[in-house]
Amino acid sequence: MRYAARTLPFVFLAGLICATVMRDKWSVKFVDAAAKAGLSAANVSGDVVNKKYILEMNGSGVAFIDYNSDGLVDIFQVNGTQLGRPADAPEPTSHLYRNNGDGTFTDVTREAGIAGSGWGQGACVADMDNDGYDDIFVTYYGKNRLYRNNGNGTFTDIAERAGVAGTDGRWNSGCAFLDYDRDGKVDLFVANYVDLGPNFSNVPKPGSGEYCQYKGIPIACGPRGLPAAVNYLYRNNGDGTFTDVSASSGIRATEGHYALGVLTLDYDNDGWPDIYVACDSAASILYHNKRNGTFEDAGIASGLAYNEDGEAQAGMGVAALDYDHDGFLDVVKTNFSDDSPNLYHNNGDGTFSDRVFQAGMGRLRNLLGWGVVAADFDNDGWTDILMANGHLTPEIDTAKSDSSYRQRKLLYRNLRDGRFEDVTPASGVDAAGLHSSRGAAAADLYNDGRISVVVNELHEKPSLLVPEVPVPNHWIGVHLVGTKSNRDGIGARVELEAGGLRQIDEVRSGGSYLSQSDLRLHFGLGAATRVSRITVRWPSGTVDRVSGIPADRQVVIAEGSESWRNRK
Amino acid sequence: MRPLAVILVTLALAVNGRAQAPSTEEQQHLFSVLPLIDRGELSRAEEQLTAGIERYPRSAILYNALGIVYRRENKLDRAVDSFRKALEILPSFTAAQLQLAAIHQQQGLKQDAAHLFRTAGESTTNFEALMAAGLGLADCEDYAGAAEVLVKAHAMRPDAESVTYNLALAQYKLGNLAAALKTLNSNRADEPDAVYLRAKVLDGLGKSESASEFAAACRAQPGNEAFCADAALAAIRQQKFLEAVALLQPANEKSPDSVALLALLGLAQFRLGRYQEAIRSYASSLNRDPGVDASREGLGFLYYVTGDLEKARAVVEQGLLNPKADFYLAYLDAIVLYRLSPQLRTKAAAALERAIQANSRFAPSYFQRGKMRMERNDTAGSLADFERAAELDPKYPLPYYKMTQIYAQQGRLREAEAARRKFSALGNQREEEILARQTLDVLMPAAR
Repeated sequence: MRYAARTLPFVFLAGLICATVMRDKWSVKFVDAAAKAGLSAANVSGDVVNKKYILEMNGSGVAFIDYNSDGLVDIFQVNGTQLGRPADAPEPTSHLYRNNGDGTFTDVTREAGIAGSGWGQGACVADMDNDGYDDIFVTYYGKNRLYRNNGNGTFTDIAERAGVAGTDGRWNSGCAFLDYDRDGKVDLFVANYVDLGPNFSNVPKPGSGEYCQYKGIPIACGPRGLPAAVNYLYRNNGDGTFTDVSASSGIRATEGHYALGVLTLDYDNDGWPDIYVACDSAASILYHNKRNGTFEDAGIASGLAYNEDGEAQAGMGVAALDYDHDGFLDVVKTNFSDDSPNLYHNNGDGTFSDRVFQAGMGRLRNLLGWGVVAADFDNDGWTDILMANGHLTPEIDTAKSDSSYRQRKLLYRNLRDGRFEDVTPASGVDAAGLHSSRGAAAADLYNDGRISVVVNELHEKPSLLVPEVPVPNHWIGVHLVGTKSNRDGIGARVELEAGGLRQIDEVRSGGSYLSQSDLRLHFGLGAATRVSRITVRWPSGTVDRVSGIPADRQVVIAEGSESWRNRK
Repeated sequence: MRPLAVILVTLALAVNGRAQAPSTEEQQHLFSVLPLIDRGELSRAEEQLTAGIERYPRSAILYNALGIVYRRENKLDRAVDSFRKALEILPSFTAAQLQLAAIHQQQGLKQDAAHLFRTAGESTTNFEALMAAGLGLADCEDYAGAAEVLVKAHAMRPDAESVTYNLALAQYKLGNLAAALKTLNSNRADEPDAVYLRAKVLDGLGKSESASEFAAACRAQPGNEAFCADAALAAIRQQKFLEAVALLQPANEKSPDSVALLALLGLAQFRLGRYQEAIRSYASSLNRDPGVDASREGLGFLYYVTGDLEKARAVVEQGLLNPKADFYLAYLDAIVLYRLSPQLRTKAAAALERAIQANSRFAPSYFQRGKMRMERNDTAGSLADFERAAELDPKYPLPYYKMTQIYAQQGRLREAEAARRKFSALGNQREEEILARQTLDVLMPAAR
């Protein structure tokens, strides 16, 4: 049965809640706890000021992963490098920070064996070998790394052996693990951005052509005017190796896109995961899963390729949310400045309508959006949206335009009627100062219902936005453990009923801008102290229903168990 | 045309005529009157010339001089009679021809004037007379005649900047741009108006160096609205927005009342992403003359682009109180209302109908109407609108995007694919680029 049959009750319930819940003042105040937490490594992404290549501008993502399975989510910060770095200078690396559970983190990069260097771009997490320990895939300009979790606090890079390293010179960007063929093993999708050519041979000098200017000032060229790269899909063979099925699956059929952020979601509620890829200055791609191991691009037909008029956008980050509780996942996408983000409302018939202006989110057009996180920050049962913004290079400031290199983050509160309110000033998400932000991800770092956000800031130490006091509503965290399905339950659809409200979400790898949020799902419950029911539709087809769960805790639901337990 | 003092040259021209030369007495009589004319003692001059004509009734030079006095006294009918009498006596009297032609021109009798200028230009070999005839012909918009006459003058004095300029201007007006450029190159001048003309010629020839010439003219004379407006337009067309702003800011200080310069400054600032500055420029422009639709369109457009939809609506709808408002204001109103709220769809539709009534050839109006019809599931109506938009503007990609979606939803896959291909072929354009194109197409000519 297709989920569409449930649309009507969802709408009815949403309307009921909307009519009866009083709207309070925004109550969640974030502080930047990065320094106190010990997130001390600054991002490196080429030259700080004189950026010759677009590669130096895009920055990197960030990932949450409970790498040591201690129940506390840790942070993996992807890092880039520099061109022409002196041979004796220390090589910048990505960083893994272990969550100490007391508000501090310890940099365990070296001891974990994960000190990869190079042009790190993004990261995505999954238990790719179903051994109970989450692994990390890191994309690079150059060869990718697949860090298999050894289960003892260390990792081993098996990308070459697994067949997912790719080749030198490839610009891999966003990634996501997904079980596209629902065989119980997560596969891997890797977006690719620009074909820079050997030694940047495809790239003209800054300012030298039509696509090497911004508002009258010369800047690094691209992506337009440069050859676009192609995307990859690797099928998990179940033996620690993957097979490149990009061509046979139809992924390779799309050409001419500059792919960045990757979002997996079942947009048509048919139980099969689809892939949405935010593309820069080109049509974004919606790989519709045809349930036979192949995909077709439904971007234009669905309305997700462009804005509502058919104008190309410079898509960066993507997130999914059911912002109006109609039972279909909607999509939010960040874009370049001089444009608006998209809030694509899922019409439930395979099409989307961009309602960004109706939602009140289309008015700030001087911001360049990258990371985007959809989470219920105030736990009122309605998903909010945080966007991390920043421009390409400090040189932008010489143009004296209304846009600037360092920009504020935005927090939009869901007003429960299809509209969002900019609560940035009250929320404090930009109180720690302006940055040129890139990847962003969200997690319940302390298992107390407060959703924190980590942001990779270009050429700066990361920001860690943590609600300073407990959030005044109830909540529940859901950690799925697959048995027949993949171990993380990636692709599982969770439907939760509490306080007369029905919510949905999916477990997903990747997302935002080249980033990874908490693999556990988080639901705000408002005033409800108990969850009436949780229904899990696993990728295997199994459906589990669990009832009567007290609020304010992290629970584990194992596939086929029809029960829950508290997570440690 | 550059102003050139009309040279009387009465005696010399009369002598140059093929008819009998004036007598010494006539000449002496004329010389005795000339100081009175110079001092402006026109009544006494009139009396003495009238007395002279009584004494020498066949004196063309005295009739000509009397005509000049009458002309200065603004007794045009008498002046005409006097010049005609002079020409009756001496038909090839160039000075009288030029004077009479000038009066005809003043009276709006351009054909009569041109005939006389042409006749004078054909018969004379005097440089000043040729110049006067050439300029007169140009003023009568007989550029072919002007060029013919001025070519002779240019041959006589190829180093004279004024004749070079005026000949080139006549050739430019004739559309003979290559000849105009050749003329200008024959005697290159640094005078701002010569530089400006050279820029216009180069622009007409599609030469990119026109922008630097326009800019040089504007920099030399920042108070000249036309020079600086054209310089800014050229810079904007070449995407040199910083240069456009640099030209326009001093020009605006010199011409504080110029609505066009402010509107262009706003346009350049918009393209630089300096939206708040652009809003201030357009708002100032609108304050100076609230009746200018171009300023209102620019301001409304900027509010729309920056997401300040309520202000956009207020500015645009104030202009629409004028029943003769430009169609683009109504179009802007429609897209603002559409974006503002779904509850305003009916008003948006009405605004679109008004825009289409006022200008039935603006493709984006049909595109927007098609979108709204599509929302109402009026598939046939929306398809018709998208097809019309595509027909009106063959470079407009957006209608094909919507056609692709409609066909795909209808299962008309071959048509969907054909539309998609057309859409792809027309290019991936960002909203900013499409809006920029619209501003160039609509706002820039309006600003000029």
